[in-house]
Amino acid sequence: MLKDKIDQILDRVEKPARYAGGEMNSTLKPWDDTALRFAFCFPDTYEIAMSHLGMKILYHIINNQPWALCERVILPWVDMIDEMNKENIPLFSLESRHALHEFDVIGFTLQYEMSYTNILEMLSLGKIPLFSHQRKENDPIVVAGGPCAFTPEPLADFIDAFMIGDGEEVIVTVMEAIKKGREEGLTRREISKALAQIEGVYVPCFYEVSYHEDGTIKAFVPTEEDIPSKVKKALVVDLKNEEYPDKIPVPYTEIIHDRIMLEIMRGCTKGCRFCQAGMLYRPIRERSIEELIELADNLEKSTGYEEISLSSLSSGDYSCINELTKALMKIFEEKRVALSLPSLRIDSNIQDSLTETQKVRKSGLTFAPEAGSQRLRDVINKGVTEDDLMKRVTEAFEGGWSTIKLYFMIGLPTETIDDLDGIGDLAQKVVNQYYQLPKEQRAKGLRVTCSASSFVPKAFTPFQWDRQDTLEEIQGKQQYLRSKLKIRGVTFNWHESYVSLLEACFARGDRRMGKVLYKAWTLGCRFDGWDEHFKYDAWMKAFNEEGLEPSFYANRERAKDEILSWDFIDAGVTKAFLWRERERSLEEKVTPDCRLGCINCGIQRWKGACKNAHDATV
Amino acid sequence: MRMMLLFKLSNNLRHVGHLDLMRTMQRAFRRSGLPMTYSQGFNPHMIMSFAAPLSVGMWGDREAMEVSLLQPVTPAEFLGKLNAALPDGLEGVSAREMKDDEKSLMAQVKAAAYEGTLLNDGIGNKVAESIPSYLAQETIITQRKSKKGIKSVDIKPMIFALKAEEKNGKKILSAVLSLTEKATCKPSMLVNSLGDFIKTNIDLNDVHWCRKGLFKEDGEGNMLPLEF
Repeated sequence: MLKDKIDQILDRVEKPARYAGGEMNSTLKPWDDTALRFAFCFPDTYEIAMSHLGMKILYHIINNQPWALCERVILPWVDMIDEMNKENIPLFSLESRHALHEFDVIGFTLQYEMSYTNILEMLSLGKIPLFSHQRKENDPIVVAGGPCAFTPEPLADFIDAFMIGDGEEVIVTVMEAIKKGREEGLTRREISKALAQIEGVYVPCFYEVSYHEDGTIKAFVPTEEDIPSKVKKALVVDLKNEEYPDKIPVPYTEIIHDRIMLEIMRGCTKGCRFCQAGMLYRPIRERSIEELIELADNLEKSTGYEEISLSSLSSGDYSCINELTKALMKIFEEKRVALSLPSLRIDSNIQDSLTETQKVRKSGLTFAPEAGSQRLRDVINKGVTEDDLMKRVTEAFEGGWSTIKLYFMIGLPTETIDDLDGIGDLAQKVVNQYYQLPKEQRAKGLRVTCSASSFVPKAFTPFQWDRQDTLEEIQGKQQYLRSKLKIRGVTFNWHESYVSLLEACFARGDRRMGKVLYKAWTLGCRFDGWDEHFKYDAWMKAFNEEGLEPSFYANRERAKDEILSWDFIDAGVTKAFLWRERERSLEEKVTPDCRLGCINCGIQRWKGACKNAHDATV
Repeated sequence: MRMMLLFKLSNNLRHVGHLDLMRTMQRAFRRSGLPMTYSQGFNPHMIMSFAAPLSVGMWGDREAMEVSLLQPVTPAEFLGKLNAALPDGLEGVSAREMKDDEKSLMAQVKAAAYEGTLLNDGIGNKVAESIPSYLAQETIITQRKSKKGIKSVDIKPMIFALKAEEKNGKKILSAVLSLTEKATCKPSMLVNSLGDFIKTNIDLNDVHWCRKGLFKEDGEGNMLPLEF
């Protein structure tokens, strides 16, 4: 029996509890009586999968349908994969240990580009044909969602249908269509056709791409008449409590984010020009204080967690954040539940909340100025000032923190050496601020960490036409910063530039990247997001053998009228708006928070979608 | 008040390590609504302690732990509320109030009873046959791994009982072994020692262990279950 075989090999692997299943609040529905069986596949380890909020939300929604069940399938670690291959054990679900190929629908969440080889690994371990066109009538239907579904082309050969945008409602519609199709004995192709009619769903097999001599896209067209030429993203206009879990599985082992995550709002109005999430998740939608308190209370009762974190792109911008934190602290202080507020912008007015919530001092405070000079911060529309940063930092030091993390990006458009000097200056100013406080007032042991990641231009942002710096350029900048940041008390961290290059290729890749992906996987690439497993040489070999150049995707500036591989998706923000913002960035003009006045990003075309919009033209 | 809890950890959860188990129990107690006591100070934690940690891979029928409650609760109510909040695979079996001057459970434990299933039939038979002559040795020297390195130790005085039986077609070892700060014989040490004796390498993963219960000593040197 599969269960027994699995149990035996668990003795031979690291952290076996992550394959055990049976966690508190995990849901096991009867296999035989359920019409539609969905396997939620997270293409990375348990620790990362169980920290992901999206999986918890969709797990809850799918299991709530009386005719469906959802089980979690997570990529085992390399030692477990080896043991499974030795014993011929296919990839299995945590709840009932059914093999992946026994499910009706398999859904992958596309969280980050460096997880793509893991998707192929999971399909392979699950004994499912990797390519869409290879799948037979009784193979599961393979779907995918999540932020990277907005740039689906590199995975077009492997995924039967993409769900683009908010998943809560479209996933039920998709499952209903598949269930109906199966009941009516429709073929795979007929079912795919039905899926393509659903708003928010992209079915790659019904679209054809052709290329110019120079490699840019010539045309991207549907192959049949009733296939939409533009795919509109799925949008949930009002976030509802019924669609949010009131209980979540509580892991036995340690995971990355081991706490209740309360999504207080979705979307962002700041309009930072490098930020894809801020563009994709428009319009902004908030949950009410009453609803949040009810959710928080239910979640705490059903899990016994010691910490709740308020989650959103910029929690300080929730319209009544201080009221919310006060109300939550009232309920939870007695129950000894700590409240945390990550992702606070430096210019937020959350001083009250900060005092309330940070009663137990954690490891440190993080701020993200992103760029070293005001000029460059204006270019990227991150409107925080040096004054804001110094105010927050002073409050932190006075409040007893001595560990501060500063996040920056290097390789941003229009960046010059003055901007890099700015990073050094900011770090020095932060250090000086600390020493200006009298010894008795400040905590011991100053630790300032400056972290610089390499800018990756993202689709659906004003910088989607920009080039990424080459490896040489980035490495040169990293070296320069290393010398500038040789300051006492400051540590400099930087991201591996090779990984950033690969990210850039997939982030704005076309369908041909799928061939590189497959080749890289056959050459042994997997767990690319993990330092010890990333094989740069194998990736370069894969590009080479497929006759493609990474620089074409990563380091090439796009022309204004070039057809981009994601143009067929309507994400709400229009290409015209993005180009306008790009021009403003070159003029170093700041675009204010659109809560203060609609800036015609394009979402307002959809009546009723954005509460702040007025009838402006595109 | 101090409450002792005996609980069962089923074999589907045998890979949950001790620290993970502690965290799991803490969360279960939080869900239960029982009036738990927390320590004072900057980082308050729930007051609880275990009689003896269970090794990863082993499950237990009567494990023991102690918690502190702010208000008195009857053992029946305590068990009822806790069991309603425990996940599948963990179950509260019995509870009793501990006296204020009673020693900590860890200090009371003297021995533990184990049952090991030998999955490899060939080795199982060899081991079963060897028990009488194994126990007839004057000393039984085996290696014990500690933080300082590997030490040789005589485990004969730590084996209070040992016999081989058969259950469901498999040979099983029933053993009562010493479990104190100064003298602990782990089941794995017993297996290695048996392997040395029959001159066959026994893969530790081929023996699945269940801890059947924990024991203390009464004033006259007799073994009693810990909960008495």
